[in-house]
Amino acid sequence: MTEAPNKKARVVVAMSGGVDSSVAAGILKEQGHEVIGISLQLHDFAQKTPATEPKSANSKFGTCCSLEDLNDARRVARKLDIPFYLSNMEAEFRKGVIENFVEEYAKGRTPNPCVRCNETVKFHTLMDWALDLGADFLATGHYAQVVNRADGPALITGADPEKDQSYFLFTLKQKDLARTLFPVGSMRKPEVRAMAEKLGLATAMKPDSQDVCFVQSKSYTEFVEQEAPKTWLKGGPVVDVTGKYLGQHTGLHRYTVGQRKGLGIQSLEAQFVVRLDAESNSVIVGPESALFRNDCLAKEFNWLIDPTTVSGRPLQGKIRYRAQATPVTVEPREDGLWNVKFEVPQRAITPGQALVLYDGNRVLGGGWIETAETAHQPVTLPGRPSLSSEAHA
Amino acid sequence: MPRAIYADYNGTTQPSPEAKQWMLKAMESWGNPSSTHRLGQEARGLLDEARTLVAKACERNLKDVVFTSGGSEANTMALWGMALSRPGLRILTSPIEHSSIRGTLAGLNRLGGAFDMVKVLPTGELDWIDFLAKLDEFKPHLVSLMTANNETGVLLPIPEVVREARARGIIVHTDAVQALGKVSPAFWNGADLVSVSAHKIQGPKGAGALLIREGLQMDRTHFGGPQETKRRGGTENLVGISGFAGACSALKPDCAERVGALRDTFERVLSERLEDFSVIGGAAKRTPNTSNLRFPGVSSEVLLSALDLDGLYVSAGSACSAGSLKPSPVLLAMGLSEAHARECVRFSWGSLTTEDEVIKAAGLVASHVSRIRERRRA
Repeated sequence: MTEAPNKKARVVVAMSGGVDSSVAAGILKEQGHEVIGISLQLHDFAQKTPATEPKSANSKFGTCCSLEDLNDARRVARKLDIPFYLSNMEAEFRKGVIENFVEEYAKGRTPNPCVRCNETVKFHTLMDWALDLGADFLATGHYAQVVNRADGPALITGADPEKDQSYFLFTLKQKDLARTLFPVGSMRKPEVRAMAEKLGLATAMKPDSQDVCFVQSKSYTEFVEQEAPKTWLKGGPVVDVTGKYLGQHTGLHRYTVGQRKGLGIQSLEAQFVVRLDAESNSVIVGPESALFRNDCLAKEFNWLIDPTTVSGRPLQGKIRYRAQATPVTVEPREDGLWNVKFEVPQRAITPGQALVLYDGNRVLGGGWIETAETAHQPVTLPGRPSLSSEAHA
Repeated sequence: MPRAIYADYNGTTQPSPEAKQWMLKAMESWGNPSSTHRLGQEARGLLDEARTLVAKACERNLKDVVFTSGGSEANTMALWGMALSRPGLRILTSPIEHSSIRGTLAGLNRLGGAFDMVKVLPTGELDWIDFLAKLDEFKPHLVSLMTANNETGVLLPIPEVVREARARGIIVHTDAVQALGKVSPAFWNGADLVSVSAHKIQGPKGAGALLIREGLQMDRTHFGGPQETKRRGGTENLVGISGFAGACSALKPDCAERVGALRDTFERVLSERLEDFSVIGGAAKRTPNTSNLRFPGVSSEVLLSALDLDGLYVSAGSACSAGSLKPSPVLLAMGLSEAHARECVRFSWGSLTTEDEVIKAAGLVASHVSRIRERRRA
C-alpha cells in the first residue's frame, strides 16, 4: 500500500471535487496530518455557454473540474475543516491541453488530454505549490500507489484493477515520487465510497468522471471544428492500403484509427481506418487485419527508473488506458525515437496515445506513440476482441 | 496559530460596536417604516435618524441620501437611472472602475447610449490630457470616475474632474465606496451622484447609498412602493441601514492619518527586509490604507495561501464566478502584463490595525517571499 508518513506532516491534497480526492483528504485528516486542499480551475465553463442556450440538467455531470466540482471541493474542505485554495490555470490549460488536443486531431492523431493535463498543467503546478507552502507531500485521489523498492520509490498500479489509473501518471518525475501520496490507491472503489459516506462527504455518491472535461456536451469533432482555424480542417482523399482512390473524406479530425462506421465507402469487405496521413491529408482504409501490428515508434519518453536498464528488457506495455498490458520490448534509436516491439500484434495502435511500460505492477515510464508505420507488413488477424472505448481520469 | 492579522479592509471590515448596537436597536424596532401605527412610527424615526447620520458623514443634504443594498446597486442605479432618463446618453468613464460600472455600461447600447474610456497612466492616475480631449471630442453627458481605486488606492482628481465637467454642463458620478472614511468628503462631494457602502467602513454588508444632488432629473430603476422618495421601492432594510448609520457615527477624522502612518511603516519595514518588490501606484496619491505590491517571481495565489496559513489575510486579483482569481483588470489597464499582474498582492489596513501587526506582517511577507524565491531558484 501507499506509504503514509508516520509523523504529523503537512500535506497538500489536489481536490477535484470528486469522491476519490475527497476521501484522500479525509483519510489524511483522520491520520492527524495538517491537510491543505487545492483545486485548479482549468476552464471557464460559464464563459463558453451562451446565456440563451438552455442547459440540459446533466450537461456537465460527472466531468472533472467543472464549476460544480469546484464548489463540491470547497464544501468537502469545509466539512473536513481544512484550508482550501483555488488557482486559476485557465490560460495554462488552454495552451497546454486544449490547443494540443485540437492540433493533434487536426493532424490526424488521437490525443489523450488527461495525461497531457497531468503532464503540462496539474502535477508540477501542484507540486510546486505544495513545496512553496513547505509541505512534505502532495496527495491526489488517483488509483495508484508509491512503494519503496531497492532502487527508490516506485509507482505501481492501484489495488483496484477496475480503477487503476497508473497509466495516467507515467509523466510524473522520478524525484517527485518520494513526495507523492495516493491515499486511495490501496483501496477499492466501493471502499472509497463507503469511507466518503462514513466521513459524511457530499461527494460520496457522485458519479465517476466519464468524459473529457472541456468538451462537455459536444462531440469531439464539433469541439475541434469550433476551436481550430478553418485552414487546418480540409477534406481529402480516402484510399485503400494499396493507394487506390476510394472517395473523399471531410477532415482528418473526424476519424480515428480502428474506426469502422462513418466511412461512407461501399465495399464488400468491412473497411476500417488504418492510418491518417497528415502530409497527404488522406485517410487510409483497409480490412480489419490491417489494423494489427506488432511494432510502432514512440517519442518523448519519461522514465521512472534508470532508462539505461530498459533497452531490450522484456516489459509489458499498454497502448491505451483500457488496453491489456502486453509483452513488449523497447530500444532507443539515434533520432530520439524508440522502437517498440510487441510480442503479440496489437489492434489499432493509435498515434497520439500514450505507450506506458510496466514491469509487473510497476510503471517504468512511457512515451507518446508517434507512428505505427514501420517496415513491417500487416500481420494476419487472430481472433481478438474489438477496440474498447476510451475512458479518462 | 497566533491571532490572525487582517489586511483586507478594502475587501470588507469588521462591524464596529456602534454598528452592531444600531443593528440590534433596529431588530427591536421591527416595525415597517411605512406603517402608520406607533410601531411603524418608531421604525420611521429610526430610519430618519439613520439618514441624518449618513448624510452628515458624507456632508450631504438629508434629501440626497437614497439607501441601496450597497455600492454595486448604487453604481448601477446611478448609471442606469441616468441612461433611462436621457436616451442616447454618452458616458465617459475609466477602465479601472468597479465591475458594477463596467457591467452596467455593457448594457448601455440597448438604451441607445454609448461610452468611452479615459486612459489610465502606468502610475494608476488618470491621463488628464486624454480626459480633457475626450470631454471635447466624445462630448459626454455624464462622467463616472471612482474617487479611490479599490486595488491600488490611487486617487482620481475628482475636484478637478467636477470643475471641468461643470464648465461644460456635464453631470458627474463618483464611486466613493473606497474613499468614505479615508478621504475627506470635500474631495468627492462636488459630484452630482456619489456611491457609498456600509461594509467598507465597519458597517454591515447589504447596505449602502446613492447620494443624488437635489433636483437632478433621473429615472426610477427600482419599482414598488414610494420608499426612498420613489427612487427605490421595497420595504427598507432597516437593520442594515441602521448599521450603516452606526458605522458612520463612529468614523473618526484622524483615523486615516493614523492608518496612513501604519501603511508607511509596513512598506518601510518590508523594504528593509526584502529586495525586489514594487509598490503599484506608489508614485501617485493613494488612500492612506492601501499597499498593492508586486513580488517578481512569486505567484500571488501561492503567496496568498502561504500568508493565510500563517494567519495574515490579504487579497489579490479579481475573483471569477468559481472563486479563483483572474489578473486584475485594473492592473492590466495600468499596463502591467498578465504575468506581472499575477504577482501582485493587496494589503489594506484599517482602524483596528496596530503597529505591531504591520511590522509582523512585513516580516511574514519578507520571509515567505524570500523562501519561495530561493526554492524556485534552486
